[in-house]
Amino acid sequence: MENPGTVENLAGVGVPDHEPSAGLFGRIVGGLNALGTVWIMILMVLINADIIGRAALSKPIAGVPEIAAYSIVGIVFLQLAHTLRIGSLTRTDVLLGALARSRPRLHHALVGLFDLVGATIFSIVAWRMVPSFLDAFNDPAHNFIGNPGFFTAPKWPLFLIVLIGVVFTAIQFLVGAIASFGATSKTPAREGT
Amino acid sequence: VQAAETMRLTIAAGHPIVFLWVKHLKDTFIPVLDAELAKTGEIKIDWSQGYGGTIVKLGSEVDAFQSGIMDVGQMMGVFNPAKFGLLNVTYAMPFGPVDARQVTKSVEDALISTGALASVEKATGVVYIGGGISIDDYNIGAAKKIEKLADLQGVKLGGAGPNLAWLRSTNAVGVQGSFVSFYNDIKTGIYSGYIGWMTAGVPAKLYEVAPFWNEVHFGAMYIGGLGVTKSKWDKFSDATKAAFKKAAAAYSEAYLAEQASRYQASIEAHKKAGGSVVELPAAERSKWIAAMPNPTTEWAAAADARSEPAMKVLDAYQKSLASSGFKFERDYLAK
Amino acid sequence: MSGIEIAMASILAMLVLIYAGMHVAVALALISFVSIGMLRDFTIAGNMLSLAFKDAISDYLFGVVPLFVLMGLLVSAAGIGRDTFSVANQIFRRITGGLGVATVAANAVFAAITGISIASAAIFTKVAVPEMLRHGYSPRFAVGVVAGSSVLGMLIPPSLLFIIYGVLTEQSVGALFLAGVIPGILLTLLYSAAIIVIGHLNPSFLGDVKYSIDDETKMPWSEIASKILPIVILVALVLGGIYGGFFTPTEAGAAGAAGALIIALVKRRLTWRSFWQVMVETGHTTSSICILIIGASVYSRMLALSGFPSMLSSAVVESNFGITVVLLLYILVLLLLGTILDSASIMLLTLPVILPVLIAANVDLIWVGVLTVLGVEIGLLTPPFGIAVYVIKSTLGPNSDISLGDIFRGAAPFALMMAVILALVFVFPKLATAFI
Ligand code: NA
Ligand code: NA
Repeated sequence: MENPGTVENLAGVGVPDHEPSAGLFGRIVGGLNALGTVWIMILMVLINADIIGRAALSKPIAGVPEIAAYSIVGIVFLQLAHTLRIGSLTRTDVLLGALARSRPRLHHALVGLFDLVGATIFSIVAWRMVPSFLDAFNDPAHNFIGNPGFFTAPKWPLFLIVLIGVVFTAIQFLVGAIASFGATSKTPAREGT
Repeated sequence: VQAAETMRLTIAAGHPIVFLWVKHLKDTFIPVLDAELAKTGEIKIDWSQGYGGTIVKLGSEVDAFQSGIMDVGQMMGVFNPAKFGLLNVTYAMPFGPVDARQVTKSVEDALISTGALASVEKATGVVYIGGGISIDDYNIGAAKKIEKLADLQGVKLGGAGPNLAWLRSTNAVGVQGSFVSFYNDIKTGIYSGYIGWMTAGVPAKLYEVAPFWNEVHFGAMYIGGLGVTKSKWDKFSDATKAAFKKAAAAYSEAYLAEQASRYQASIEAHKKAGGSVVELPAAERSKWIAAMPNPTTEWAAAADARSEPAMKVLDAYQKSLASSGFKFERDYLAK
Repeated sequence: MSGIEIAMASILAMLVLIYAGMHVAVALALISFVSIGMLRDFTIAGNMLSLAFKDAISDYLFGVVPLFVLMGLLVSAAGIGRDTFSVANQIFRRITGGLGVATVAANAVFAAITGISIASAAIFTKVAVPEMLRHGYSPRFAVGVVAGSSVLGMLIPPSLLFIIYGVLTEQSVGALFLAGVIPGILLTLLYSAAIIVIGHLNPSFLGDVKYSIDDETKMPWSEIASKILPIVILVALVLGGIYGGFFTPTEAGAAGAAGALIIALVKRRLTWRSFWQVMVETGHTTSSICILIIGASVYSRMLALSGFPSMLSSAVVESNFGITVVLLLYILVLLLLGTILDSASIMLLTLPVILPVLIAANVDLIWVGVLTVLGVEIGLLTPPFGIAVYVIKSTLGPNSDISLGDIFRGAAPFALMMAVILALVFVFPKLATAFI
């Protein structure tokens, strides 16, 4: 990946995906991301098949709106951890950019703190999501999308994907936090000191 | 009268307030309940109201009940078929009565007498407190007349999944859509008509694109009633519970009364705007009913999987209607 | 703390945290979690957060977001965007800000394809921004034009916002769509005129633009035709598909992406490797946008629970001013809420409160519909929460030099011009109702 030395990269906000510590965790996050990518392709093919089926053959595919609504959730959570990992999650850099230049240590501390907040929020989400996943898994008769006799699909696989995505995003935040806090000890408090 | 204890409750709905069943939460249920509670002075409710999905998204009602996000709201089978599917009994028995009041009463009778509501309550933790409502007669609004079954040949019709199942024996093509998409989709030609009801079609000005109101009389459809989270309900005194039930009954009554008056006004508005009403002859309708694959099959199978008394409800509903003078053309219970 | 106080504090906290550089989605989720915890309790707060993660984007409408993004990336990766803009550059070479005008015009055309501004913002960030930068336009101006003209996506029919407004007010969607046409065209013209005028008065505002094309680099007509053919085919395919009744504006994302893919393959401009890169980038942009939408959704649910928006709207209704003042205050509320909330939420929160007053005063609801959509759409561009700006940032990707602040500042003049059109429609209701 080319690194044009942007404000963000100066600020050390993103964790580049060629980071040496990638390891097993990095490969899993990358694999989830690839699955989401393939899912986008499948969704495109499915909607086009529905269009052609309906317009040309008078045979629309039942449940495409439900499948699309289901898919987008799956796609986003398969790819979220990787999106965070490469620094694509939206944030402003006004303050962080300025701090990176003038107070590098404070900058790393703040970035680490924000990552820690992210890890906390995503952990809360994961913790509150476990019961609904277990319910959907143990009782699929009460947990499906669509309508019986028309189109139905179980909810638990989606909830599992969301849960995995949320957990991996939380871990990715934690990884970022550790890296940032680690960097504070190696960084001078002020530029030039 | 001692000083009232204040209780904070959240009431929410996925539909916006223009829908009658939401309007009367605000305009009837809450005021009647507040007035009833003021009589005993036991408790006073500090309401948080959020309609139109502002607090709870349409389809997430059961989740919201169960996780304490909302305390009072609608129990609607159509939008929560996995949890409240048993309440969809009329969608599984189309070509029933067109009278919303009659349908509501018979469904509630059947759900209560068979213990069905108790099993829904057990599975979801939501207590049905009454307030049942039914939508007026479902028909087909279309750009063309449907005077015989053959007129449906190749005609694409928009509708929700459970309604499209009614088309299975016809040569019409069901396309998934909703009142949000009907106007545009019919205008551009994705499909040329929709399955819906008069008092929603006219406010959406659907007569502009689908001027023929084809009365095939799928019948009025019961969509649900009001629910309160069990954990809250169990803490209420008997007097408070009675007040809730009274307000729910008033809600049901106000809904049905306003819908009836709007129905007449809507038919007139439809005609005034150049639309016309077309009746499908009884013989053609009978052919349709006879040819349908039994629409109760999958509904009952899904209910069975949830250990709910589906066949008992069907039977009780059919009998209750019979006692009020309506007989289905087809015995949906026959194998 | 009362609900209103919590809501006010949450707005302040949002400003501070977003400015300080916390991920926007995390900031929104955190603030909402704490606020709901204070309004109710922290178990309910956690449940609302987790429910929103599952249901906020679970919608056909959001399902096609990756496909609109994919269409934009394919158009860009296959060089269709570059070809189109090099032709535009030659045609508009004597006009200052020619490519800016071309971007505005292209957005107006694309608006007839899409009903959501997110799609316009994502596509033109990929297609138009690199080309404007290549021709010397400043980054801030390039993203500003894209942000500003993305609002056309929901002003010119089809439009999701007009559909929501139609449902909430029981107005004909067809009439509302027609009502958006003149203001949409006016806004297009105003943007274009402003770019040209500003380019003349203060050329540096546009950047260091290279207009001159010498005879050597000037393309012959045959080359122009071959360069512009793919985009003409793609636009014709999608427009024809929608207005010919083959697919809906929602499905247009899938059809357009497939069309762009086929064109790229036919032109042999796509290798397996570049295709995979396009797909991966599509995913990153999508999840970056969608997690923001989830955060915004939790935040708006929290705000609804606090009672703040309905308090604001009720204050307007109960002010006992004449209907004109009430309408002006209503628009002010839209603009204020627009700084922190997404467009659809604002309408869902305010319209039910104000509507009875409008009906009682016999105000033309089609006209109010245009005022409302223009009002909430300004919020797409205003900080701290401006979804069009965030979509552009997400689409630019992590290696871009262009900051969120640049995009907000670049979009500001366009937000002002929207306010001008809003004022014009307010003073001359005919601009909305002429065709009705
Ligand atoms: Na549009
Ligand atoms: Na904004």
